Amino acid sequence: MSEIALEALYEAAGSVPDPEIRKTMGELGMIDEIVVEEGGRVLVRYHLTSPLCPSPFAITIGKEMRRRVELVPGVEKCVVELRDHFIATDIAAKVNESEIPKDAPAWL
Amino acid sequence: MAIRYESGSTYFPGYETSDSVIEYLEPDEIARRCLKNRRELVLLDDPTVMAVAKILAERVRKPDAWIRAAVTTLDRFAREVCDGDLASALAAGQKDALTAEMLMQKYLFLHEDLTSVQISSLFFGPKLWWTINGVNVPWSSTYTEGKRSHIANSAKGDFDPKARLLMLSLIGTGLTFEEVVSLKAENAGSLDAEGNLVPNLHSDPLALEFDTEDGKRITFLGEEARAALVYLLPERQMKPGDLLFADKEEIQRLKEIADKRGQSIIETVSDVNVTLCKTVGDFFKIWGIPGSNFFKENGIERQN
Repeated sequence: MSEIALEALYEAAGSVPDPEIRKTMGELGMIDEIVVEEGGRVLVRYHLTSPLCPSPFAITIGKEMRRRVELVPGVEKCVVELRDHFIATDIAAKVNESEIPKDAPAWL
Repeated sequence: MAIRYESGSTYFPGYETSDSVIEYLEPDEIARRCLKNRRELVLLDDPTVMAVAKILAERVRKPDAWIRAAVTTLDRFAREVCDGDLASALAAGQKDALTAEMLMQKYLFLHEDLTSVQISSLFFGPKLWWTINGVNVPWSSTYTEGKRSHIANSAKGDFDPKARLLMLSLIGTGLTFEEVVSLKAENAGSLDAEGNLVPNLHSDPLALEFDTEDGKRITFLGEEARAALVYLLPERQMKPGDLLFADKEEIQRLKEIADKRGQSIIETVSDVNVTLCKTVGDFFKIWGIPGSNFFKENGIERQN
């Protein structure tokens, strides 16, 4: 397994734009932590501007984050963990529920 | 006659939207769709109200917002100054137009403290209704004169008033930049009883007529933009054939200013949006989601 550059992961996850604000998750400081686990699995912990952020936004941001992170060399799978949201578990489950094809078009 | 009606084309990132749907519908069906599931839908059973909605459906490119605005403000007018009896008010107005004017003045009196933008909105439906049903009420700024202005209407400050007009004219009209800068003085005015444009730059509301693939259509200029246009009229001395919103040789310069100011506004509002979201979010993190303390505070055992 090739070593995954943590910097590239932060760059990929942080490049996702908030569709409402036109700033990226990185610029907004929403990426809390990225953990590289065994087997090329990556866990991204993030939060949103509001714990009441509408779920369509929250889900789309999460899916786009997974898609971008999974394009980083060495990453086999990315899962996300949303924090500080009132339905964080439901949103993360929705984001993580299915595989994202490598050629999937961008959501954002 | 069935007319082209487009719906479902709104796009907002993050939300799943279907493709735009284009249908050919009768004007009254479009009117009913625009008010579907709204309390005001019943007003369309009144043929005098339906007449207003039908003309908007026929003449406006995307009529939804304008039909809703016209019928809901007419509903308010009916309840506040006509005792809910539009038929009697119309009969009295048709007999003597002074009655219509008196009812409009009474409506204005009830909303004395509102700004010019709010007043202009409130009078949109009633003005159309009287006109389309044969009562001659003035389409002038009689009701908005002397009212407090919104910030956008302020002619003070260092913002080029011509650029301000161009930017404001893009808001709410549904027109593209190219459409806005191609409109001429004679494309702006009031409507007659059949919904035809009567050129008049001092009209309020100010209808704008433009060419589309389906013929001539209209939209209405927002009050801020209308006021900005009127502010520049003495300076511009427009005559038929002149461009409405900007002189031809100034369009590029104004577009550059508008682009720059527009970007600045978007960034500022985004920052405000982030701060508001975070502040509201922090509040609910401490106090709990809305309603979550209701049962505890009222000593009620929650039933799941």
